[in-house]
Amino acid sequence: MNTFNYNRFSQALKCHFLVERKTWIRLFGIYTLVMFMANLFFTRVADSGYSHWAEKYPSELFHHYSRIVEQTAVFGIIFFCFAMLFTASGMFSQMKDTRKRSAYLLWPVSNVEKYVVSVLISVVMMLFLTISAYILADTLRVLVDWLTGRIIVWGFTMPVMGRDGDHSWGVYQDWHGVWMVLVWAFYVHSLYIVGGTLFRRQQFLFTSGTIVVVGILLIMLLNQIDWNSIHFDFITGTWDEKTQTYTTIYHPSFYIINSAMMLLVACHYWASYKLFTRMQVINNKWLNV
Amino acid sequence: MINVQNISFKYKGQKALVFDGFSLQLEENRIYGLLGKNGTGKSTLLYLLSGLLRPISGLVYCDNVAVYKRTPELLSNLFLVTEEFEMPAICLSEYVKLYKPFYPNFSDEVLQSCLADFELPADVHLGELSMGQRKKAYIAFAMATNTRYLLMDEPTNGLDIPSKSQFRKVIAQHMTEDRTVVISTHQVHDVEQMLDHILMLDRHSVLMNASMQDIQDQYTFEYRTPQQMDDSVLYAEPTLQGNAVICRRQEGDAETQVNLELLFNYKTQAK
Repeated sequence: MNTFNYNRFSQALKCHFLVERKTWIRLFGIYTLVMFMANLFFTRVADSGYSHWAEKYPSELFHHYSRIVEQTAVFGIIFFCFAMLFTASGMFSQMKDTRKRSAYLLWPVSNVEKYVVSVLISVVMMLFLTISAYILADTLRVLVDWLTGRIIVWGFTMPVMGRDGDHSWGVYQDWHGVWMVLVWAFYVHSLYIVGGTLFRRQQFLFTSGTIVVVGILLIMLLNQIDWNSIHFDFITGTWDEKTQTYTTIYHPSFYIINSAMMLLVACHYWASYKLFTRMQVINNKWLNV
Repeated sequence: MINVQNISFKYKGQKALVFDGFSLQLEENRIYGLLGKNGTGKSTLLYLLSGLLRPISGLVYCDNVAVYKRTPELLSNLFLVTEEFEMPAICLSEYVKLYKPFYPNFSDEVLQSCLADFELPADVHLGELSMGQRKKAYIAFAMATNTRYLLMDEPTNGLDIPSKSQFRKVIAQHMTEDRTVVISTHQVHDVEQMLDHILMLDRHSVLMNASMQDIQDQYTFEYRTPQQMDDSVLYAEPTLQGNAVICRRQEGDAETQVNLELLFNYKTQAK
């Protein structure tokens, strides 16, 4: 039994991508429009002091406007996170009714190949699409700024380069921070991948609802523990008076917890795959079991 | 060969079993007609045969492979024409180009021949077709895949009158020795001339599993006046031409054309 054949897989990927191309174009247009309108809101409506700064403090104008544009970058990141979670939960949207479900399940492609195609489309493809829409929306905002005589401040470089190109967003200053953020981002994303496979309809809402309910229950449970009697260090810091520097100390528990989270991410993907292989053309009303 | 071994099946949330200890064997080089009242599980059986549903007990094997595994080798040899189907709104030529690599025995000649029979151009845009035309394009593609197992659920639904005879022509022309075709339908008149085996489903079980030749050997189908009705009549229905009757075939009786509708009513009402 041939579970993964590269030629068949690449043909399946090409097939899936081309058949759904109108959806990608529509989504790209919607994402670009939403982020462009948000950019205009932050730079034109929420900030009405551009002309005042240009007139009174021209030397401070670049710094002031960079702070305004930074808000668009923050919005872009929040939008990006929601878009990624939404598409993760809609990973099997190509199977939303009986017709589509039977067509997809009877496609002569192995379960592994179908699953990887769905993951690639909903993660990598959507990542590319959302970032492209973000860059295009920023470019359109810069174009409007240029046409109306404003200074040129790019926003799309800020999430990586910081406001002044100096990596001023603290998370990049230490690889530990980057690792932790990525692990948590992938963890939450993998929860939506499982939810997208488990729930048959309204996957985003049901997954979010389940996470909130489980989160509340977990907090209530953890509140029952007397934390003062447990010595637990995750991240601590020391301040050196002589050198006037703050040093962050990452304890072994930091590495253990992050590694455990990575393992959980892998388990979530495995659970999602197993659910997919057991999917039938007619399932439970609410769950794909 | 498709082998259904003692399967039981029920839908989630329902108490009643659709199949209970159901077994069946489908041979090669046959066109099976799958008949049954609404709710007897015709579509469910097709879904079970293709691995789209999983029985709660028992197994369905296709060439000795359990179909629930949905292996690519199995799926490239099995095509299910569903009553309601999914075809993307792209050109048929593009659809064929994208999907034919998944079917190793795909034949462009068969596709062209079927499209010609259905009076459809090869470069038609699927999004611009009516439901019936789309169904014809779908059936043409299904035939061209040359899969060993072709399962069809109500294939003539939505087809106009000339298309139904075109459909019969397409099936008859491209039937091969190693192929098994199962047609589930209520429109028995659309397909009765080309069937060579009848499967009649009742609740949970097979009510009739017989070849057309066996049926013709056992019964005669004819029209009689009220004066001609006698004890040899097993079942009768009044029609404009007189009484349509089924009789036990006696030695010396001529072979008659099977009237599937009458046979179905006889079998389901006699039970």
